[in-house]
Amino acid sequence: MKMKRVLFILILTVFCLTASSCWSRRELNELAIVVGFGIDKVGDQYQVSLQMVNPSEVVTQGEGTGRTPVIVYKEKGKTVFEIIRRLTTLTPRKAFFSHMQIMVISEEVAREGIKKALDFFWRDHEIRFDFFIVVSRKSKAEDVLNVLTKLERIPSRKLFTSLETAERYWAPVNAATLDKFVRTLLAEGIAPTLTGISIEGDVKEGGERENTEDVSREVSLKYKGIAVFKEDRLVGWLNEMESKGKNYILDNVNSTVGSVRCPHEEKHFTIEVIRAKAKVIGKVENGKPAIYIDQVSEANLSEIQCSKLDLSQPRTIKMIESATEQRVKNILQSTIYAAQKKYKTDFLGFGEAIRQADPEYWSKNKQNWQQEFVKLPVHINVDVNVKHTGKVSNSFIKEMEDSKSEKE
Amino acid sequence: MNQEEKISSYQLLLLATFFTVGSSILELPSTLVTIAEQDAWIAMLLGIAISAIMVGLYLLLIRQYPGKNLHQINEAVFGRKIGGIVSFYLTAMTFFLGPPTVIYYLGRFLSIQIMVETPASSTHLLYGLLAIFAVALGIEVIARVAEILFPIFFILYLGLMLLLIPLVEFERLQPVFEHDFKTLLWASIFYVQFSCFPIIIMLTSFQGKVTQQKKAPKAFFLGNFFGGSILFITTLISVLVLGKLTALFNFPSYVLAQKINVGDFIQRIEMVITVMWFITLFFKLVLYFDSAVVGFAEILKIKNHRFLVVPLGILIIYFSLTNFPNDVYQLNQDKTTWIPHSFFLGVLYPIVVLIIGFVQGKLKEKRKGIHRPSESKGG
Repeated sequence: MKMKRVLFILILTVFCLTASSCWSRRELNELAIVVGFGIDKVGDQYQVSLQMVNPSEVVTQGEGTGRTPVIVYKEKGKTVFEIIRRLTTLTPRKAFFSHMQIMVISEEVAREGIKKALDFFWRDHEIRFDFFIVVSRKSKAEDVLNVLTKLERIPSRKLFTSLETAERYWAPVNAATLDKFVRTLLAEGIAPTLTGISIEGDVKEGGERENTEDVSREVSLKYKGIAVFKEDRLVGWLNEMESKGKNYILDNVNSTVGSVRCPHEEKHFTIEVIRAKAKVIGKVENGKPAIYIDQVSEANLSEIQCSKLDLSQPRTIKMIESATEQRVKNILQSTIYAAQKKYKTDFLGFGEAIRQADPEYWSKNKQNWQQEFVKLPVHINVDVNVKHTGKVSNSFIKEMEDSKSEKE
Repeated sequence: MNQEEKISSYQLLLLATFFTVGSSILELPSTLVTIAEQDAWIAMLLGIAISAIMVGLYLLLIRQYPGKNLHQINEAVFGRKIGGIVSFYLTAMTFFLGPPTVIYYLGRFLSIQIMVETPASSTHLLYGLLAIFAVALGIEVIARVAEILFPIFFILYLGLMLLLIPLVEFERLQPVFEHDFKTLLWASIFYVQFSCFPIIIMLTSFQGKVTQQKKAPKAFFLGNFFGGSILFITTLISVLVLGKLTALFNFPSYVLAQKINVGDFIQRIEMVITVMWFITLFFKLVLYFDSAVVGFAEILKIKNHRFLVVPLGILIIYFSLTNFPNDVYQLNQDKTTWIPHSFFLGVLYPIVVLIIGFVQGKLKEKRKGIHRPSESKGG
């Protein structure tokens, strides 16, 4: 009995000593929280820039110490993890990656292919998949991370939230997380895309603290265009219209706004799309593949400059609808042109649609899909339903014009 | 000793459920998706069907030899000598391949995902000691622990699956039935080999200890089926949320839990899956270990099997640290060594026992029919 008690106490002691899990502890004051990650090419080596939070500067209410809220460290090397560990010779603390917000890849690296740089992020246990990947357009990733921003004190956080907001309310961006990107890399019959980011203003001034203190002299970061990939190599950029079409086709549009020319006038009205649904349907008939795109959206009329449209008439709404449909159709066609003719890469997922429709045809023809894709016939069907016209029906502009013509 | 221990049929159901879910809840989706891609859930359904048939077979064993554990059955069927050899083989293989692998699973998971710098030996030691403690207390206590922990496990599981529903995309299932039956069958083997074939070793632990002996077969069968359903839903959700990426991860369920984000409020809750995995692995480990201890006691004719718990327990901790030089070796063992072993254990062995038992029964009946026609056979 005594023996048993001794054994019992012994086991409990072991539990107490080991179960407190102090072994791998990492206290908050030992961590350097990484929020932004940038990758550039210097010579034949990678250069990694880490944007780390300066906690005392971000947390303090009221008076800060006057230093910048973030610090950017950079280092060169052959592999990503090697560089990150070499950075400990520069930073006072060990980098902690679980709160990463954004990953900036320079255009140069993207054009060469980015898969080599990404394995570490896929493998390491600290990395989560909820950060966004963007491509820095015509500038180095390092410079993008160097810019200080105003509304959000942490620039990477600004990049994250602004991309999140833009994706929800403005169609032509593409918020891709790492897992989403790798999924499209692996999927048959669809190529990945990433949003581009560019620096507006002088690169050098962006890093100075004054950039956040001056109202007008802001060097800012702006999302611009969508980078199109062939496998993991960047092949080109979509402009705003093509980007919008891409998101329409891939059903990524939550809400967006577009201006359409008024019939019979050199003026415009604005349509706010509040719900959009697109279906890409692949069909193989007599051994010939074809794509049918069905795009239905529900929209509101949100701004009008035209004076000749009488909004009290139902047929005016019909007219507006058909004008908008034509506009959306043009957008989609421009995107399809970019995919098939300009860049010859299937970022619209047509191959996947064909595969889902006819797996047998796909397994036979996936080897020469590239040639098939370029000459694939695409049929577009657009349906826009305008529901509301805002707080008013006819604009005061029309009232003014009408009274003017009455006087005459 | 054995006569004192009693478990209810509900507790048996829970134990069978935990044994079925076991390590698979974290790893199985990955293997299934590697082989069957988006059709992994069909493979899982196939696996459940196969395991229903196989567990049905084990129920025949229970019916034919009520109250007898696996080794007593061996003795009855093969005689003392050959029966002893068969028992020894089963027990030794279970002992060597079962518990150490389960502990290794846990250590691997912890040192990859959570406590990277902590040496595996400390986690192995802790978990091994827990198993020693549990088995020393006996199956009755283990069953009660199952009764306490099951609601916790189930609520966490349900919560996790419900929170993942917003991330579901049904297009990930297409094209359905892209893979032929052979591929699906091969994939389903990876469910059956961990969750169905080895469940036969539970017969050593619970036979003769269930209070309502008549309800035991039903509880055993339902437990396995219920566990299979849990794994089916996990696999389905994995495919619907992660799609083909499931194959790339060692622990897809953990990645699933990482993806949960409800209104930037309920997020970063992946530790939930760790808690679930601790619970299910614990029962898998303890049931393997208990079966091995009882087996050795039976072979060595030791009345009090608890005497063996500590030395054997120290051995499994040792084996868990030395059996596998690295992860790849262990994963390879699952694909190579474990398949024939589990096939022998779960398919060949019960069929042979049933056939021999059937023939013996017929012969006895004949002999008895001549001499004493009034006596009926048991069962």
